[in-house]
Formats: sequence, structure tokens, C-alpha cells
Amino acid sequence: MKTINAYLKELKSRINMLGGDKDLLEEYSIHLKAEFEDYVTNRPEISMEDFRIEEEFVKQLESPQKIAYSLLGKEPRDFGIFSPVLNWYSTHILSKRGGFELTLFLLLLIPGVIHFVNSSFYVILAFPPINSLYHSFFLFRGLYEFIFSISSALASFLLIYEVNFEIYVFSPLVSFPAQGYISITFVLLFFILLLYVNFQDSLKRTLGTLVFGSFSLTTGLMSASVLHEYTTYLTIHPHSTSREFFSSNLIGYFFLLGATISIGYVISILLFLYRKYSGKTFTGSYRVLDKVISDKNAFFLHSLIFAILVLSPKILTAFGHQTFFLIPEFILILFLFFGMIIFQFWAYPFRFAVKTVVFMIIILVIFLFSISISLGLVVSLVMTIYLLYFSFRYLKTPVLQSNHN
Amino acid sequence: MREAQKNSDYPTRKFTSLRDRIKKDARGALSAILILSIIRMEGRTWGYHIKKQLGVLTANEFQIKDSSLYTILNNLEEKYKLIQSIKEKKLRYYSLTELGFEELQRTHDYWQELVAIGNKVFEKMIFLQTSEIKEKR
Repeated sequence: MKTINAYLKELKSRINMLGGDKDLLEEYSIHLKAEFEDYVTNRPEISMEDFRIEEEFVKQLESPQKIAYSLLGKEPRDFGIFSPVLNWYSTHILSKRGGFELTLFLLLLIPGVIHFVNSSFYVILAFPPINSLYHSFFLFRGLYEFIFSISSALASFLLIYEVNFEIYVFSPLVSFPAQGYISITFVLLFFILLLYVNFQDSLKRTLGTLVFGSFSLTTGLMSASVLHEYTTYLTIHPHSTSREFFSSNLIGYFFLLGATISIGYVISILLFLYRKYSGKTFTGSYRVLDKVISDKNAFFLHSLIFAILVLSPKILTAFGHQTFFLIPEFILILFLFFGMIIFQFWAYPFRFAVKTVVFMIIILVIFLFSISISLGLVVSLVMTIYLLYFSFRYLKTPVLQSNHN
Repeated sequence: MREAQKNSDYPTRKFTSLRDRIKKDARGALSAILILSIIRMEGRTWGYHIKKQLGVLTANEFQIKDSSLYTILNNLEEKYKLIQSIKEKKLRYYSLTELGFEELQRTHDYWQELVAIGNKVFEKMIFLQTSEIKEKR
């Protein structure tokens, strides 16, 4: 049973979800209050403080979703068979407090589950004796991906501790192929973005979280590849130490960067959550997300996120990991690709969604059919800079205004 | 009328969907005209007051839902530019634009023509139905 306050709360969620601002809610609240006063005036036997009467009044009101759409001058989106699921998810999950974080968590969790199941089956079916280090790695890797999905940066931090971080820092670099420089530059650019977005206003903090939620997945995948490489190295050189491994293997350096950024991500997430739930000036990521998904220019940001996700397997192949990593990562890319397509057409006007999807397809084609690894990485860097430029430009533009302004 | 319907070959189901069609299209158009008319009468007014005046002027025979009201107001302002709005103290006040004044007059005249034409036909239809019933008896 709903009261007027509960009704307004739900309406606020819907308006925020569609990118509106609090002014609309205030305006309609006054409308509702005036209507309620008239309603009670015509019933002199009832007092305005009567809780039951508020509920009776709410019964005759339309659904908050319908009102929100009409206040913003928008039409409810209809995607056929997907509509019930999307509408349910939007109403019961995404519009609630923490819904965005939960969605991000699920997006990170699902690939981890896929990896875990994949690795488990691989161990059980292909390698019966699972007590050896090499074979147990597969199960561990899958489990690691699963844990990573729950706490990505924390898992990387544990790996740092495991492989003796202090020794590694002073290991000399043996060789540095061009693609390594490009990849590291790419990583550094996003590290700068991380610092930038987390010390600005709530919109940018949320965008930063969104970007680095995806980026953490990338670093986690890269960290997992290092662990695999390390384990493989140990089976070939069973008496070697971790120092020798990281001193002769470039990927260890890359792992260092990935792990460092993962720590930064942990700190960012903690700051983000603290500011969100501390009750201070933070207005709530939920409201910011509304503006993000409603702003037609945000397609650049979505393409950027997709570029990051597509880039991760290319980075792995740049360091010599070929067929072993391609299958699960390819599944991941397909999963995210189709998921993002659905999201685009759900959240954005049709012509903008088409533009984003075309852009995503171009990225995918370039990566899949790159003539060489280096070319693919160079192209990815150029496109990343291009997308970064537009993302920063987007971040500087005024927050989306409602259709009433 | 009910006897005529029972004896008629015209299926009741088709008649219901036509009425629904008219309800949706004609009612939607009429809502826009009435809203424009109220804004013109008031000079400057806001959402709930429009809804309230609509009930008062039509003796609650014509009521409009909030979702329809604000959708129409959005369309009149953004799409057709017939009204403009100003936000004052948390409320949005609507008034007619110059184009709105002209369009309202034209639409009002056209609506009256349509109603007059429709009434001519309906009156003859009712007359004929009454005559048919009398003949059958």
C-alpha cells in the first residue's frame, strides 16, 4: 500500500532514471498537493492527516512511470519481447538506490562466472590429476576470475603480495617492444582519467567509476595472464624464483601497471562509496547515471568503454598469448557487444543508438582483422585519444536539461 | 436503439473498436483544443489549474489524465510552438504564443464545421432508424 510520499519517491526515481531534474518533481509535487487538497476538501468528514485517505487518493493516480514520461515529454520505449524484462529491471533494480552499482557488479561478475565454469570443466574433463601446480592453475585461474569479479582490485593486490612486489620493482627491463610502449601509454592515459574524474563533481565520479569498472576487468584479465605465464615458466624452470621470472619477462612490468591501477581503482571506489553514503554534498550516482544515459552525446563514452574491453585480448596477444586466451575473451567480447547494443537502443534515441552501434562495429572489425598486432594497437590508441577528447568535451558540457527548459 | 442494434447485421464488436478509435483520436484532438482554450481564457496558468478548469467548465464530463495533460502541453510547446512556458517559484506557467492565438481560432472554426457536418448526418441517421423501427412494427 502506497502513500503520497511513497508515490512521490517512486516518481522521483523514474524522473531521475529518464534524465530529468528535481525541478520537475517539485512542480508535479505541487500539482499533486493541490489536487489532494481539493480531494480532501470535498470530503469534510476526513482530515488531511488521515493516512488511509492518502492511500485512497494514490490509488486513483496514474503509474509514476507514465507520469515521469509525460512530464519529460518522452514516449515510453517499446522493444517488443525485451520490453517487459527491461522495464522490470529498470523499475525494480536500476531505479533503486545502488541499482547502478549492482548492474556494474553483475556486468563484471558474469564474465568471471564464465571463466570459472570454463576453467572448472577444463580441469575436470582434460586434466584429472588436479593437484599439480600447472593443472591446478586452470581451476585457480577460473576461481581467480570469479573472485576478481567480486573485488577486482583486491584480488590484484593479493597477487602483488604473492609475487613479492618489492623485489620486482627493481628488476631491470630486458626488452621493450613498441606495442608494449603503446599499451602502457594507453594504461597511463586512463590512470590520469581516473584521477581526474574522481576529484571532480558527481557526474564525473560516476563516469570514472563506469570506465574503471570496465578497466578493472581488463587489468584483471591481464593479471590472470601473468599468473598463467608465471605458472608455465615454473613448469619449464622448476627451480627458478619469482625474481628471475619477472626480470626476464616483460609482461611482469605490464602487470605491475595493471596492479597499480587496480589499487587506484580500489581507492577510487572507496572514495566514491564514502561520498555517496556519507550524506554529504554527494548527490548520488543514481541521479548522475540518469543524466548519462539520457544524454545523446554520451555515446562517445560508451564507445570508449567498449574500446577498452575489446582492447584487452589484443594486449594479451601482443605478449604472446594466443589461442589459450582467445576463446573466453572472445566470448566475453560477444557478450558485452550484444549487451551494449541492447543497452544503446534501450537508453538512447534511435538515431544516436545507431551511431554508437556503428562505431562499436567499426572498432570490433578493426581489432579482429588488424594486419598486425602493432597496427591494431596503434589504431586503438588513436581511437582512444579521439574518444577521450570527446569524452572530456562531453564532461565539460552542461548537464542535460529537461525538455521543459 | 438497443432493439435496432439487436436486429442489425452490424456486429457489436466492430462498433466497439470504432468507438475506441474515435475516443482516442477525436478525444485527443479535443483535449488539445480545450487546453489551448483554457490557457487563452486564463491568460497565464499552470498544469493543475488547467486540469481543474477543464473539470469545472465541462461539469466533470470531460476529464483528462495527468499523463495526457503534460504530454499535450509538451507537444504544444515543443512541437507546435503554440504555447510558451515560464518557470516561477517552482511552477511552470503557460501562455499562448502569437501562433497559438491564430491556430486556436482556426482550429476552433474547423472543429465547429466538423461537428456541424457530423450532426447533420447523425440527425438523419437517428431519424431513419426511428422510421425503420416503426415500419417493422
